[in-house]
Amino acid sequence: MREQYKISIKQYFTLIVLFELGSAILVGLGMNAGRDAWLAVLIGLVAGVFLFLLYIYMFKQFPELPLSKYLPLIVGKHFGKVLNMLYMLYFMYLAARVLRDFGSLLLSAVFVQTPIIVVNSLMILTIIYVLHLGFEVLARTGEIFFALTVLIGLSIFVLVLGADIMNWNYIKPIAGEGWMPVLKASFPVTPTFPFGEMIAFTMLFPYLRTKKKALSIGLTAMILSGLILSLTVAADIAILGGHVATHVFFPLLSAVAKINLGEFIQRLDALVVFTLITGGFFKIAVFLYVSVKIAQDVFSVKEERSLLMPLGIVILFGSVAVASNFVEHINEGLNIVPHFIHVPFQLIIPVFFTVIYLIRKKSIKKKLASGSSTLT
Amino acid sequence: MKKNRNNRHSNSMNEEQDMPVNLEGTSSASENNTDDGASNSVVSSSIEHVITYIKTELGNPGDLVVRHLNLEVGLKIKAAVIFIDELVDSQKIAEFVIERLQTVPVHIKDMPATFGESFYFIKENSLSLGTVAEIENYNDLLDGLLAGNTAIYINGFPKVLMAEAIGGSSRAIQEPTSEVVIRGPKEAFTELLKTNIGLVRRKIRSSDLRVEQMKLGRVTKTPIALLYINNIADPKLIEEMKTRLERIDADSILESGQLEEFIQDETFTVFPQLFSTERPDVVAGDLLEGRVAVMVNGTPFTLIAPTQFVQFFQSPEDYYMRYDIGSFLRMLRFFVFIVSLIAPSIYIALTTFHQAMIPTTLLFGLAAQREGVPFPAFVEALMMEITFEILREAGIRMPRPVGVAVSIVGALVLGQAAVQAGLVSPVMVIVVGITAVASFAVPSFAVATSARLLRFPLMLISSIFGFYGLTLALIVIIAHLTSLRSFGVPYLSPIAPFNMDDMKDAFFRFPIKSMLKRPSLISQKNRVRMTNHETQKSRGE
Repeated sequence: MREQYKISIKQYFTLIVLFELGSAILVGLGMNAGRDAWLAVLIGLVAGVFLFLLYIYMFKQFPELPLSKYLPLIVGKHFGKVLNMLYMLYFMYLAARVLRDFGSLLLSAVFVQTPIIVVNSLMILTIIYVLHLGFEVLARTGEIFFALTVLIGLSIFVLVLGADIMNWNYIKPIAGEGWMPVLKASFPVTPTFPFGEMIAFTMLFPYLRTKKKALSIGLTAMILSGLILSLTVAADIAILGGHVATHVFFPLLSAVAKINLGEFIQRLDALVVFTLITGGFFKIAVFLYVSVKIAQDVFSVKEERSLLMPLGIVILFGSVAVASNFVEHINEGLNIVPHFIHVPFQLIIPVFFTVIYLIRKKSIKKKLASGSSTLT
Repeated sequence: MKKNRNNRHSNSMNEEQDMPVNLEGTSSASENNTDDGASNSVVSSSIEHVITYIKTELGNPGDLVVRHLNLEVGLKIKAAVIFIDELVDSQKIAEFVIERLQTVPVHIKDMPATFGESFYFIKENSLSLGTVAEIENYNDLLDGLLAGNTAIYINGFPKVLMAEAIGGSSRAIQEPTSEVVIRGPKEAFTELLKTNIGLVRRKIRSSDLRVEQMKLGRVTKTPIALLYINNIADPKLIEEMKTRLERIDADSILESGQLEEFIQDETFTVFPQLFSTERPDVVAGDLLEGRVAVMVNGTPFTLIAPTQFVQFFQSPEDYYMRYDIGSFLRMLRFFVFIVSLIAPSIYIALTTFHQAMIPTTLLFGLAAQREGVPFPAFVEALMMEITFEILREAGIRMPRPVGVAVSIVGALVLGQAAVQAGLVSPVMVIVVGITAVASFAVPSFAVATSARLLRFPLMLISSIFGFYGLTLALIVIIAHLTSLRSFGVPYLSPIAPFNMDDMKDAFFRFPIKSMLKRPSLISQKNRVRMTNHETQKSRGE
């Protein structure tokens, strides 16, 4: 077995940003709030930060252990195993959902007649190959694609400004119908997706090279991506108008498609699709890697690479099976998954085991100390 | 008196440690040792035995020269000068060996009385060549002869003098052919290892420049030199390079390309993992950054390790020109590499899947041109690319006069006629033309070939999946690049893992005054390259 790779702080930062933007920038985030969607995103960010603080708190208690290793310590071996398997399935389900998002995007934008499984299998095979080269490679590739994404993102922003297609009157009045509708639209969708999905990083915190910075850099990356998301949503609405923006599947694409500079630079949506692909790539890859890591602990598998293919294939078929059509998929994603899947896994279970930990703190620390002494 | 002399001899033996001679054997062999059986046995003290032995071992070749001499050095002795013609400088031998041997130095009063004494007498007084070693077994004798040394044998003493008068014809130092610059030194390495080491030594006149020589190849016994600068190169790197070189057990090393395959980290990749150059200034520059160079006798191409991907886009000229134009040219080269890699794929993807992205008027033009073409864009592109590859290969291998004919056939018949015949569209010819020119503009031939190979799978995938396939394929290529390592140094550094300091010399070439440190991953301890007194002063004030 190879030595566990340590993630550098730069890689941690770029991975979080790519992960957070991954699929969230694609679908209309918080569009239930109408023209105040960008506010809903910011509210989601604030709430998401609290979830992140909870995850970081638990990491500080077990700086050497990932989620899958400290869960059994807290809730007991067998129940811990059950929870671990649930988390594994949760992350795989999330990966499948993101994969479906991107598959559908490609089908609607480019490959009208291609079966979704073909498009998705190309993506999952690429991810398996890159993870096969090691998480190190994924992290370093992330650095390069982060730079590329920033470059393309900025140039599109400049083009949007240059094309003069934004009408900021569309987002006014801010919270015109009072704050309640905005808050109602925000909870629980925006805090859980994408900010609460940071729970996946509880599996990666122990592998940071500089653990002290897990909180500060993580928060910076989260806030940066939250602001980008909010700005994007606001720009979508300013370009398309509140009504259209809330009713198209991919508001960002429709907005970018409006760019037309001198009859030469036009239809940039096709180009944007492929920048988005890289974001989705990293999000799915992180979910796959995290579920592989949990599976490695649950089934005590020595070589993590041997798990990539089976789990990848399950995710591939899962991505096709999660919904029978795209409308159903999006509907599930906005109305069912946040309430019944995100909230339990991101809030209820973490709060539950944190409380148990606080109660049994002394005996757990003792167990940890004896366990580590027998290990060494 | 005799004791004194013997002491002197042993001293002189110790001084000559850099000779290619095994000095481990003791001089305990008796004078009447006539054992000439095993090859590593001690040289016989009879002239007939020695000459017969050499002739049988070498198969009595026609180019072996044995010159018998009758000398009078105190006492009358028989001697022989043995060498292989064409490996030696025969003028030197005539002038500094044979003539000197035949002229007895009369002014010396203390003439030798035994064969042994006359052997040392000759070594010290009668040979006016720089390098003379004494050897005592047959193995070294044969190796020395085959390496181009001249053996001087004195009858009656079981040792042989090996004088170095290596000659024979070799190429003169000429301008580099594969790395041409407008400004900068115009000399390139040659096939002779000695010359090449000298060219580097002339650039770095430091006692810290170390040259370690070894021989590789069981049959070819190719001399190899490992060059590094003592205080700058990482000792671990030098150790690693030595172990990798020593691990090689092959018949032959004829070119540094063969050596490269033995010592590279990863076999299954299209990317070159060791940088090779024929320019002494490039080697000197890389040594000063803390890298090591491996030279192989018989080729002008020197290997440099560890190698980073960005090195292939750096031309020595970047550092000789102003930094602004240097930076511009460097960015241009990266762009050109990307063009040569994906230009046909982008054309295929655009025309097959993403017509909407083409401006409308241009789209009409393209559609009109493609109207008569019966093939899909991929087949069209593949045909043209393969045609181009054939032309290129033919152009390189053909004799010069025929090469002109090839280019006429290529340009006129295959370019224009193919368009007129409706086989390919004119735009396709432009795309292939741009790709071809771009691939010639990449400064390193080695990395241009990897783009050449990767072009075809990229074309295929973008004909099936458009930009989506192309994006994923590029992710795979970049991930593969980040997974590569050259002697422990990440191939894609300083881009990933990112390093701000080293970025000054990656995509851009910052002003030399601002590059105060050596690349961080390569020279780990001794990193300060220069002190910028100007900035220090301004800070101090």
